[in-house]
Amino acid sequence: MNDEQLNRVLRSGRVPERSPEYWTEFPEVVVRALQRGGTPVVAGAVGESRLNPVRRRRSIALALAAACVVLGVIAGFRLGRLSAPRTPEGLAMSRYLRELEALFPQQIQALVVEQGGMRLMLSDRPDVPISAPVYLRICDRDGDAARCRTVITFSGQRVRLNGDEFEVLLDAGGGVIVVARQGVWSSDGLRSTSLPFRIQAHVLENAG
Amino acid sequence: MVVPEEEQALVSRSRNGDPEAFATLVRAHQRMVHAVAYRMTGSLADAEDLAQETFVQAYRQLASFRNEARFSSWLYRVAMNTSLNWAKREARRRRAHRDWGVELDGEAAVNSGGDVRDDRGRVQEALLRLSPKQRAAVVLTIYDGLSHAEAARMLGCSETTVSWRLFMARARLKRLLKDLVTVEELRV
Repeated sequence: MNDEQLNRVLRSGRVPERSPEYWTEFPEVVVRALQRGGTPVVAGAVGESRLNPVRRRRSIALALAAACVVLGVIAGFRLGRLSAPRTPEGLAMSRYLRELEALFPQQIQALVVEQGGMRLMLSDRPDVPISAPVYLRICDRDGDAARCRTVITFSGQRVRLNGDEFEVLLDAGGGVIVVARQGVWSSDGLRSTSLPFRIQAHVLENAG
Repeated sequence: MVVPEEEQALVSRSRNGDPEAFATLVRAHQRMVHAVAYRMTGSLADAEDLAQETFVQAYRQLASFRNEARFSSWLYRVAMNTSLNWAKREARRRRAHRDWGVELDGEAAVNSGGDVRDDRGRVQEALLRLSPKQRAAVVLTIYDGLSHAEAARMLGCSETTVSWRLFMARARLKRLLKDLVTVEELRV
């Protein structure tokens, strides 16, 4: 079954029709429920404080303190993200991959994240060597974000993105090497040659 | 059908506590809200409760509605959030019943075979086998035609997360509904 067939099957399951009386009565049922307890927030009252001045000042001080705490947490989180590779996206990818590995053990060659969704590249047989998953993001040097591609793959795999083929390898120290037709990129920068791409790559963190 | 200008006036009157104005808004959007609720619950009775809860919530939150958005889009978001909250409550309730060994009435029984008439029920049962978040992704994108980006905004998550939920949902639905495709192909 392809996606289009599945969409047709799903849409064939229509919502059961209700009687015309039901549709006539339902708005009245809602209004009765509102009259029993649903109070609207009157637009003009929003922002108008009914608190006395002392309590209002205390509320403002509390709100400011809370805002400082939130800003501190955000700043800390951002700094942490800059220095550590455990990004939420990476953790989510790691989790997705683990779920997929349970379905297709040793068959996953790559998981490609595209604008319209995800594409799974599978081997016909369970012959993909077991190794740490590698996060790879490749963009054109001209900075066209629409042509950036994110891939999760494994050492020894070749992936084809935007017409170019890349071979992904892990070295003994856990560094990533990406071999393209035009040259080589390495995460430690020592073996990199000039390439028409901007590449980010690292071993994918474990979701724990 | 309520035109946007008229709708704005109805929203404004509802904010000022006019129940008749709100009843008109309910009348205009009740089918859409019931459809979302039914897709998310799989039960007409639960959908009715959920639709009512959605409108009560919407009435209470009217101050947060800004007129630059369509009222229907805003209401749709309220309906989806109410449905997801309902799903969380329902999961807790089911866990509690399971822990105490109580059988629930109306527990979705899985239909193993079925004629063409039952296929609609099977589609709904298959949807109920998904997690609420996966189900929400299916409802938003496949039934209501939203793009992944729009669905992500509606659900407050990233586009990648929506794509992933949809990918997993499709894989599961294809397994559950694989024998329906032949019947469906005969109909086309």
